[in-house]
Amino acid sequence: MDITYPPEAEAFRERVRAFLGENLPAGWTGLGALAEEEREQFRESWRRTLAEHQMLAVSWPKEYGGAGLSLVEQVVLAEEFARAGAPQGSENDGFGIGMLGNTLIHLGTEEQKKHYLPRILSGEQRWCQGYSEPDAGSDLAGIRTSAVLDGDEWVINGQKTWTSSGHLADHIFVLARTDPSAAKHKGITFLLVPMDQPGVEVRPIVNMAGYALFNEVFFTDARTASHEVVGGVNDGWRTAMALLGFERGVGATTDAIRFRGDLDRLVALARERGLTEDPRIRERLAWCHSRVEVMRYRGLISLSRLLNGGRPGPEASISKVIWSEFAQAYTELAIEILGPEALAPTGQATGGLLQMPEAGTENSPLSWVETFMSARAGTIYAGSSQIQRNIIGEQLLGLPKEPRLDAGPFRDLAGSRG
Amino acid sequence: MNASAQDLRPLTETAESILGAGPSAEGVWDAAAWAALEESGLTTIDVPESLGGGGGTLREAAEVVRVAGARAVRVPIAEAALVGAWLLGAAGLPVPSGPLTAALDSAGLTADASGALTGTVRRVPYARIASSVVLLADGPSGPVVVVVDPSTAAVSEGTNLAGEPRDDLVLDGVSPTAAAAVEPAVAAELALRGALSRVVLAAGAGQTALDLVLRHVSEREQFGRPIAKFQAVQQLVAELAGEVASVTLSAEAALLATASGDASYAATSVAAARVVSADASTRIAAIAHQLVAGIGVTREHALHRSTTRLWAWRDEGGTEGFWADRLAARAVDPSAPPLWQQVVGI
Repeated sequence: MDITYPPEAEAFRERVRAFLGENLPAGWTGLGALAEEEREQFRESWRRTLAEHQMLAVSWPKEYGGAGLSLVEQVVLAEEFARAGAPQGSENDGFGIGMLGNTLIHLGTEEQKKHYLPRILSGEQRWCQGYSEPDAGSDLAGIRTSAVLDGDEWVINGQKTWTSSGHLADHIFVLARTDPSAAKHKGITFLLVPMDQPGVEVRPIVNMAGYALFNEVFFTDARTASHEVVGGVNDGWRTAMALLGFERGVGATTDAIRFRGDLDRLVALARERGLTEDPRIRERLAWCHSRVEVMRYRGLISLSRLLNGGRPGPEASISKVIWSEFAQAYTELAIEILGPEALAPTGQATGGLLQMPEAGTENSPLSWVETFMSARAGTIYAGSSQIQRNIIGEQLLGLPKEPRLDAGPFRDLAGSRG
Repeated sequence: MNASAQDLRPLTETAESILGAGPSAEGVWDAAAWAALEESGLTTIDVPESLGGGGGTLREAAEVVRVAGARAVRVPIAEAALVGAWLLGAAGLPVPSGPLTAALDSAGLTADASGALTGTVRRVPYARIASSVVLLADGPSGPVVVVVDPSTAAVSEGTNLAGEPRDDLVLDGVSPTAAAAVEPAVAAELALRGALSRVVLAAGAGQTALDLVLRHVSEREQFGRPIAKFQAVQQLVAELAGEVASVTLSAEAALLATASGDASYAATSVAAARVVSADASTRIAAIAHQLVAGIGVTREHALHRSTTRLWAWRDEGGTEGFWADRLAARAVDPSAPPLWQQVVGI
């Protein structure tokens, strides 16, 4: 495997660096250095700057308003943005541009592309994801939210949960059961649904760190037009999985960059506390360093596959297990380094985080305690470590599959309760 | 251990009936729970009757603390029953009425010849709501147990990651409401008492985490069956149960050793229990969250009340590293009994 980037990619890297140097505020270290109330404001103005310079929908073809970047260019851009602590868009752009936009480009109708892509790009529409349900988490295909055609409209009833940024969104893509007499993966349809209607209610979920990052979304006779289907009625599972492929996308090499940044913060913390001579702390910091290097190599392997025409496959499960379990280990170490300071933590709060705090966050005891608590969720969301290991076992190692107890029509399954 | 568990049952049931509701939804502390505990004499179980206590045993006092840990109640019962009341007993001072707390470590606090107190005491549990705080000060001729009314000190409020008050007390020439000199050995015993109180609390919280997990994995269905049917889940549950058992047993062993009056035995057992429980607490919280998954990291689910406490308590009263160092120092001390004897032969 050649782990150098092609020369034209390095030339592109210089262009991205020049853009960031010219457009980021002087002395920029990341969103974390801004007061919480200033972050959203910065994200919005930064998003406009990105749009003006064709740096927003980098994965979309030019004909749809995207930057039409090659895969390696997308990777280079993501790396440089991560290194600079610069966001690639607003909170909902990951769903609108990265997931839905790319899915529409591959599986949508011409009408859908013409209607939705410009609105996603302009920020007129903000999207969120309606996949998980209270009874369908690891077992996503067990969804029960139903959609029934009534004339030229779908009527939707049910509940979604863990909807990130749902409180900021005005549209949601929904997996709904449209044929309960089919097998569980077969009777699902992928629907595009406006949220500003009486039948849709969003309720925030507060996590144990005190932040509302996720939501529940309730559908009570909510409606969407019959043509708002991506990928065919009862063929939504295929669309759903294609979209998750875009979720993994080109981010494989950026995890290592971002974790490297936060690990540097941890080393600085150990230094400030005078603990870099403590052999126990040194050993664990060295372990952390090795894990971040492993992440970097994993990223390069994924990149190499992508460049050779492969799609992100079951190997992505290895990367997911590694980063999420690393996140727990290095934040546990942070708590140990803080010692008594972690017991009644003080200093700047993170303002809420998923994978790690925003770049530029102060090296405060409270930021570490919040990161530590948030890291618990990493091995749960986006496919738990148990599900990832199943994928590794069954799809990479060819181990026997667990016997299925959920074949046959969905409506006949134990626990499907309609 | 069965016989003593049998004897404790009426007490366990009393404590459970008083604390059964668990913590109130809002607020910094559970005033009603404290009032009920105090009224029933459960805050001073092992204080001699001559000092107004119940004349019971350490194990009995610890049982109430274990139940409080299990129910995640917001009261300073561990500080009052296992630390404060014990310090007062050692000093021959009566236990004052009203919310009582104690500092697990008041190093740096000094009493001058007139008895006036000066110094900063860090992270005192529930200092802001207590009417009396028991502290150990460095007096002109040795350690002094003192009782302070926190309203006479500056209270700087802090909170641990379970939301429990951990307030700094700044004393600047404060007169205690009671004071009595004690033997120098009390200072070392105080550290052990503080550590022991955290092990007992963790035993309760660990059991609750296990109970919540068992309920969840039996009720939660994915892929057409309860997740408890999956081997990966069973293996984690078994590991979790093992970790909870090791905290519980190390707590029992440390309580027996402390009650024995053998200072060396107590020091080894408490240090070992503290290391075992700190390690296990991290593992218990990690496994419990993995098994209860998404719903378990939300505020509305009860699990975080136990896990955030396990995290907060694991390093209170001396971090895991501190106690591991202590244990190691004893193990290699040439004047101490050989290690094998220390481990099995006491």
